[in-house]
Amino acid sequence: MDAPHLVDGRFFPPLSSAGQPARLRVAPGEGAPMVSAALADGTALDALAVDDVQAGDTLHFAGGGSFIADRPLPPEVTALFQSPMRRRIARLEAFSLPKAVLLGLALILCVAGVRAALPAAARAVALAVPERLERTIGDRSYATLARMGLAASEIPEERRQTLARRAADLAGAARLTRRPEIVFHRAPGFGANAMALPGGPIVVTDALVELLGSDDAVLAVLAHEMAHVERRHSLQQVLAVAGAAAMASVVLGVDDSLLEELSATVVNVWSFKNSRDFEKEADLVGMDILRAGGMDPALLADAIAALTTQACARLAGDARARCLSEAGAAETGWLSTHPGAKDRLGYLREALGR
Amino acid sequence: MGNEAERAEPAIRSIDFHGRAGEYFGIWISNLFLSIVTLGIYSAWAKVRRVRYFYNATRIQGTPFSYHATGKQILIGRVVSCVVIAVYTLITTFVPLAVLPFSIAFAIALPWLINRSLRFQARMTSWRNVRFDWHGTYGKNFLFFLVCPLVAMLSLGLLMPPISRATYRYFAESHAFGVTRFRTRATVAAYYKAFLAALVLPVAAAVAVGAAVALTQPGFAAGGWLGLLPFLMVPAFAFLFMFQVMYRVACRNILLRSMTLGDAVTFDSRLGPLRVLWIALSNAVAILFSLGLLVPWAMVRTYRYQAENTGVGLADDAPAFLDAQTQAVGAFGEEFMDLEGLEFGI
Repeated sequence: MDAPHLVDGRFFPPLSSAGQPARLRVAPGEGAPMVSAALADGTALDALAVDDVQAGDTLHFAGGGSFIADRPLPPEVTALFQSPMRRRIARLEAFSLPKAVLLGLALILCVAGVRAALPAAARAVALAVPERLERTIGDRSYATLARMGLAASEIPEERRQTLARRAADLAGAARLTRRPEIVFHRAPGFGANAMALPGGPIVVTDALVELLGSDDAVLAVLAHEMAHVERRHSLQQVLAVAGAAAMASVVLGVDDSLLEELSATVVNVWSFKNSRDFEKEADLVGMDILRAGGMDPALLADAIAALTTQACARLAGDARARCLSEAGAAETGWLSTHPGAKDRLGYLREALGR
Repeated sequence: MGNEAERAEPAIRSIDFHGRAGEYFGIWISNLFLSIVTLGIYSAWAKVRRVRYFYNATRIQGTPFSYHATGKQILIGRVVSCVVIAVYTLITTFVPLAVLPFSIAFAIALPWLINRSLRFQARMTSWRNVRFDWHGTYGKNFLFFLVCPLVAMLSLGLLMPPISRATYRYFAESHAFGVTRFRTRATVAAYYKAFLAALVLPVAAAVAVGAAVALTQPGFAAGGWLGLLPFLMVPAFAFLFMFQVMYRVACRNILLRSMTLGDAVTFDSRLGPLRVLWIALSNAVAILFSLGLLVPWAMVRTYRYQAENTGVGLADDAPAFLDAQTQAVGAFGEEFMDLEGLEFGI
């Protein structure tokens, strides 16, 4: 058995800052070391239970007392009170340049790994969310949207029913597992737009139907939206952004508001990228749905072209031509939720093989 | 006052801080690495490591501060706040109108959370075997942390000095070392002086920027002031930031210089507002350009500057302060409110 360590310092009884000189005796043994103290006033204290050692010279005892050594404790004494796990972490923490470089690289790899794994994890979690819950979320959001500015549709009832029926047929032909309800609304605030809420319904604005004109074109956009619902994109997006925010707060979560702002920006930029990936997936799956329903997948590309150039329709002459060429050439921005027209029409044409 | 004249003023000595950036870097990067590998679970223990490093390296009269919170306590607090934030995010994403009831509930809970957080923080800190404590109340937290900032804003800052005085006073006097409360006696005039002094530089800078824009970009003036708005945002933000940093430093100086603990302890604080501004800005630049690797250096540098310019005067016969309450409290609330502001006594 090792010889006991004798340490001089001051002993503080529980709840008191009135210390007195004392000599501490630390005897290493099986399991926890035996600690006793001889105080200057003659008191002897046995079997002291050490809670932790701090600052290299301060021992805190269970029950509140403490002992502050006159000199820093030898590392072998400090180590007696550390769990094996704590000792390993302490070795990791000891600074050296090669280790710093190695840890730095491992850190970058980890962040990259987590970043790559997040969408997959979000997909897995989204699949585990019960459909009933997703539908409830969708219904609630629809109710909120309706309150915020959805008015009754002015599209003839007959045409709406035809569109809804043909959309259902399309979903059936493509063997989709989710058959969202299609609802039409006049919604000046949203422009020509269609929105897929989690688990359905799909909201179509009157402006969209009017802009696209033909039922086939509207169905092409519906195929894109049904792909969103089928792949549970909204739910995945929420989960992935929440995960990214949580990870960012772990990585950058020091008490620095400036860094917090920075991490929020990074998460936002990343979420836009994630959203663009979903749009592309919905475009490609949407074309498959059209094919399965015996329709021309090119309809989707045409509908998207019409939507991207809608703003130009109000202009005339040269301005209109310039607007059209700019809209078609729009690059994908960092902060766009949808791919730029150039990229989007590019991959759509590629998928059509032309 | 007579009492003070009889006693020799204890000599003020600045607080020792012997933390080193290299040493802390090892802890910081290990914390980060282990937090990511464990998907964030280790971050609770990482926090204990971080706070302990700074506390343990801080000494008054050779005696270090200790931090007693355990990773498990902090983890529980983090899990609870994570769940609350997750539920909030999920619900408000799909039902945006839910923000309103949530905000009201949060405002009601906030004073309670602040209480829990400050009490936890104080009781987990000890010096010479005696723990600190917090005696704030729900009502006063509500008044000082929710109502007062609003009133200060509505008065366009004119009532800020008396409000700062009351708030800082409440914050300091609700803290105790053992069973002895801290006392302060700063005047409103001192805060008004600090307020005006903190305004000088930001106002001068704003006027200079405004004049430069008006002179070099005459088109803006012609286009009406609405066109100027985006260009005013950046200087306005810089103005607020500068003012806030400088005013807060001045308030900290005033508070600590007027603070006492029993008859035995006096305090001093001599932070330079411009110096603090410079440290904050240069830290931000260094962190950005090092992709975050200089965070430990920046933290140690900031902390060292604060410690070097904070003094404590201990009378030779400093009495033993007895700690009456050391019972454990849950960590809940700690993660919601890491109330920034003054680290008195540090």
